[in-house]
Amino acid sequence: MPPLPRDIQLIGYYLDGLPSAQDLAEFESRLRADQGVANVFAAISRMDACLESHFREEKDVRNIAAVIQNIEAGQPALAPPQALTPSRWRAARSWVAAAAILVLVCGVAAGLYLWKSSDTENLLLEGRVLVGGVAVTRIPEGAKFVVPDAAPAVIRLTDGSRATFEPSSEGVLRGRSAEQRQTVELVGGGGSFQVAKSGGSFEVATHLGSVTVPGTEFSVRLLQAGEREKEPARADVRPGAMAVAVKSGVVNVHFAGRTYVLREGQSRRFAPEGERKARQAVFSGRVTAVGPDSITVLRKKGDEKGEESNAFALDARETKILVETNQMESVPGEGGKTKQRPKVVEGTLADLKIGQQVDVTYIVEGSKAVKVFIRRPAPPRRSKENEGATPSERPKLAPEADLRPRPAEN
Amino acid sequence: MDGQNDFLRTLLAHEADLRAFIGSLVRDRHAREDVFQDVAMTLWQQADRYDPARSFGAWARGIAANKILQRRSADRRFPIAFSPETIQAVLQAFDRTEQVELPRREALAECIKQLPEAPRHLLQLRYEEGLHADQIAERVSRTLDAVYRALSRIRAALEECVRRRMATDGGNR
Repeated sequence: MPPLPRDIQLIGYYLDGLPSAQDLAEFESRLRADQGVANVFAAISRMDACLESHFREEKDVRNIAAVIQNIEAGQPALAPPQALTPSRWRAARSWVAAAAILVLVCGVAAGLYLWKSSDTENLLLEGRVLVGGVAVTRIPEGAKFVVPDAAPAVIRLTDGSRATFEPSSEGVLRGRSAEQRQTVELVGGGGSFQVAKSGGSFEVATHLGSVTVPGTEFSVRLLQAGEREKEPARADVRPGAMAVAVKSGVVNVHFAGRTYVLREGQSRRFAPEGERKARQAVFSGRVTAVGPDSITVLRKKGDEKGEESNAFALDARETKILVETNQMESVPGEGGKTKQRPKVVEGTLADLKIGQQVDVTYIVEGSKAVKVFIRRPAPPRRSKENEGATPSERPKLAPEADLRPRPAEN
Repeated sequence: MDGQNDFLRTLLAHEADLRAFIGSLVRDRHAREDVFQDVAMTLWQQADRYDPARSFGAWARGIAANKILQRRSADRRFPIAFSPETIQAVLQAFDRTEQVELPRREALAECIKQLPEAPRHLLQLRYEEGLHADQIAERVSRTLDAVYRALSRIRAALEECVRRRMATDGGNR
């Protein structure tokens, strides 16, 4: 039964005003007696909470932006009054002067207070940040924070620099130390940094390496093994590489005991030498079992006398499935000529079937499949121009005789 | 629960709905923030006791209702208008109509953008400045009843707009 107009009225009195005792008693009685009224109240309360949250956030952002704008513009919070001296005020001039001085002192004090606040607090300007699971607008130094939403979070740091953290990023704001004027510890994800010019270095530290700058704009992104740089960040996997891009100025990247200098417009990916090679390998063979989150592949050993089987973990979000089809496509070949090769399309885990020939690119530690290349089931009769074009005929992709793990192709 | 990250994700997904439940019972902003912090801390401490077969939202609201009842009995000045029986009725209503809020925020922001100036101004007075209906009536020179009716109508219109937008977005996914 739809709520009565009186029920809506009572809900309004309760949410928007101060209901009388009589209205409140009637409202409570309706909530207890009629589930429909209680349901409507729950729905309107949800809207009420959403509206409050929406407008509060809007107001906070506007207020903080205004304060920061004033601070950056070097304006005092209050301007001194204009010196107006009409003749009838002349007798009271000393009082006006005293009041002007008082206002000026208040203005300077307020300005100093705002400067001090901005110097001692990391303020959230945009987006959301969680510390210990709770949304905060001031990020304490030394506390681990998370950017939980799909939107980035913009933080003004205590040294005046501005950090924009990508969704799912995690980090700790360390603040000033003996060596650095500001250190941002990036645990996962990535961020862009507009570094304010002032004394001392600004540092972004990761477990892989660090970036230090005197004043510039740059970004740092931690990447998991095999991760493409444009993929959204994930906080639950320990990153294996670090990407740095410099928008302006010069930065020093400290990585694996060496210092690299990157200049404006330059970007570079830093991965531990040999780590990627050691982490990934390819296993080619026939599928013997398929589960919802795993696949077992059997391959012949190099001496042709034995077989070995390996199981790989699958992840619907992370394991890329490529299916080689019987359809041929033209691709540029040597000497400007085109050549034909089977078309490869992106598939899903549901495309994996027992008996298929596959090349599994996997992370050695944990045998997690990064990519599964499903070869076409029955290649058409080989023509001269197709020869050497299918993955099964490419020795680099299907080394059935090679037992050693080898690096994956990126 | 598997770990800290899972817990945070789940809490985050239910945070707005949990806040709405607490706000429906505790109208004072500061008191409701205190209750929310208290509830979040308890959820965090008791994460191991959470039964994944049960709705996280219902579990969290149950804890919140208990916290509110405890405060109500410990402090007679605690700002809550409802009796324990009414709190129970509201709790059950939230359980029956449970929803996870995240897509709603974006939809609501879009719907608010589409509002004409006058209703948007009323919402700002109500939610940004935190004025009660009688104060708004004075500010905009309208009768108290007109303000109550206007706020109810605006909320209903926004509810409808959000529902339509979420249905359209859901269909496009």
